[in-house]
Amino acid sequence: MNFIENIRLAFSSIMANKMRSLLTMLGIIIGIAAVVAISAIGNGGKYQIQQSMEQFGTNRLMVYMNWEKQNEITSRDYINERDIEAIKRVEGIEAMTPLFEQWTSIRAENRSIDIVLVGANSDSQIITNVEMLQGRFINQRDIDNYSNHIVISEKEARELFGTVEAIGKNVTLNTNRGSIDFNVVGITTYEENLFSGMMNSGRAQVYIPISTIMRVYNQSLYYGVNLKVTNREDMEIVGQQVVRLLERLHNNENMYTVFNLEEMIQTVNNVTATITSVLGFIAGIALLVGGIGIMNIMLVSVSERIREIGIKKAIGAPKAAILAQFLIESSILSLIGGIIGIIIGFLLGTVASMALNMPPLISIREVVIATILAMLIGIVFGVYPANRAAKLDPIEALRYE
Amino acid sequence: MIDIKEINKIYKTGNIEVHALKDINLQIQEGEFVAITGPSGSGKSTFMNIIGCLDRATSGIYILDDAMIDDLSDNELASIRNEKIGFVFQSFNLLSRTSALKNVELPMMYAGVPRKERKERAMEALRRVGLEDRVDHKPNELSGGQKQRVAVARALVNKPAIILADEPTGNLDSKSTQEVMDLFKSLNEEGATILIVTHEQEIAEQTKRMITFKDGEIIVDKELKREGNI
Repeated sequence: MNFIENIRLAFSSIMANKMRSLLTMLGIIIGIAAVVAISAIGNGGKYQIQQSMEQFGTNRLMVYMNWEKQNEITSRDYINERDIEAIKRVEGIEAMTPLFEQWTSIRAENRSIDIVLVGANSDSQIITNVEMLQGRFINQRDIDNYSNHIVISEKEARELFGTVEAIGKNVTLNTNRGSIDFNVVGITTYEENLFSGMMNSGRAQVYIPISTIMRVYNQSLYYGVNLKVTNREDMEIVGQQVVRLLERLHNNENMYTVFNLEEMIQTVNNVTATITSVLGFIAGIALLVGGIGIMNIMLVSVSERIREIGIKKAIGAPKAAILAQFLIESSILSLIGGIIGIIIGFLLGTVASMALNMPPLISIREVVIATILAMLIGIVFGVYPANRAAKLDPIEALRYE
Repeated sequence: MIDIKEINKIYKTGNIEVHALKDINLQIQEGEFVAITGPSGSGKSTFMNIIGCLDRATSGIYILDDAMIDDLSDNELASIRNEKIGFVFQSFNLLSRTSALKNVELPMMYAGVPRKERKERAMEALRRVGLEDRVDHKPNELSGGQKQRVAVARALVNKPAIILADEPTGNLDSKSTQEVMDLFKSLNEEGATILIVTHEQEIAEQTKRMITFKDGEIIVDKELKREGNI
């Protein structure tokens, strides 16, 4: 009995009992759909976290004022130029920018948008992975000259000028001491990510020289520092060292805190992993139930066809042929279930990812695994019924009414 | 062709033993047309099952077409049934959702005959039984006599050593009965070895040799003269 013949036979048997076949497949459909949807959402989330991390800046640490102690913080505790020079000498630091940001707005051509104004030095680009679309970033000359140069993102450029071709144009910065004109020297790329919303309420970051921002706001003290650490493994130690150094210099305690994105991502990943394994467990149970459903229906199918099996055995079907017939039928049953499950899982994953504002990611690998899984279930749970059919005594089977 | 020596069949059900066949000796030559008769419970069905390689004797020797049947495994028996035996059953035993042509093709599928040859041979067999215009009909679209002719076509398609028919006319009206019997007769004239199990005397009398079973033993084994020819 050849293989294609068996497949045709299996299809006609499945189609002869459409409703029953569909109900049988339900467990497999739910299980596979869950597996596919979970991995789509999981992959999307992972991808997004990674993207965000790259945008935030790899190996990036922030050491800043511990705002939980807001009421105890005095001007003595803020970070000054002497601290900056001291931190520069801490081992393992690749780049550093003092932290001074201001939430404000810029306007041009009668349009105004809210932004986060960031004081930058030449290290800022390295630390925060700023990607230039056009022009250049803030450099040391800008800092030395207290120049009124500004780097905006493509988002602001489009919103203010209707085009990204904004190099050389002027924008007006609104400060508490009136308006100051800045000249656009660079355009950065803009990408929405998990953390931009969280950290800046969706405002884009706009860069001017750190020296200029301090002068504009008449400040000499910083909230903290942005650091890039040379080796990922040293991040925690370097963070602690900087905190201890600051505490020693200011003779205080618990006034500084470290923000380490890696740690946060680790926490997020742990939570995600837990959720994924719980959902995966549920999907596994659905698949198990689905498999038992297949086994059950195959047993029904065998007992409905005892006579047919008897005829086939009488005219010379070997055990293997009967076994193959029912195994192929159960695998095709669960394979169809699996394919339906993959489609539903894909749709579910897409909808859920869209709701969570993440890209849905389904790799060929997952689809292949899900398909193989479905077939495997069909085979594993088909073995018992198929074996029962193969072992039937032809005389008994022929006599069966 | 068929050589049976000292065959016994004993069924055990709990403590009760039923001696269904007792020391049966029998030879059937190629080209014979044999009827096996006897009342129900006489052992003729058991005998038929053993000859058909569906069942094994408890003791004794059965040689079919030079093959020692007693030593064979289940799968070997299956292939003997496939190659050397063509079955015709009282209740037709066709696959109900399958066309006449596919039903006739079935034994060749297990024999591994290529698709194209399978179809040609099945067509030829159906033509032989006079059903060339019914090849695509399913069993429920055929009359009893037509169904049995499909079954005969299926039985002869693998060119078996022997065709075994178990009450082949039991479910047929008299007209269809005669059609099927005429078919068997002409197949026999072409050289086929045919063995019919029946309890109807008129059927048995149309064959060339009548073997009668009673209580697990052969009580009559006689040559018949068929009216008309030979």
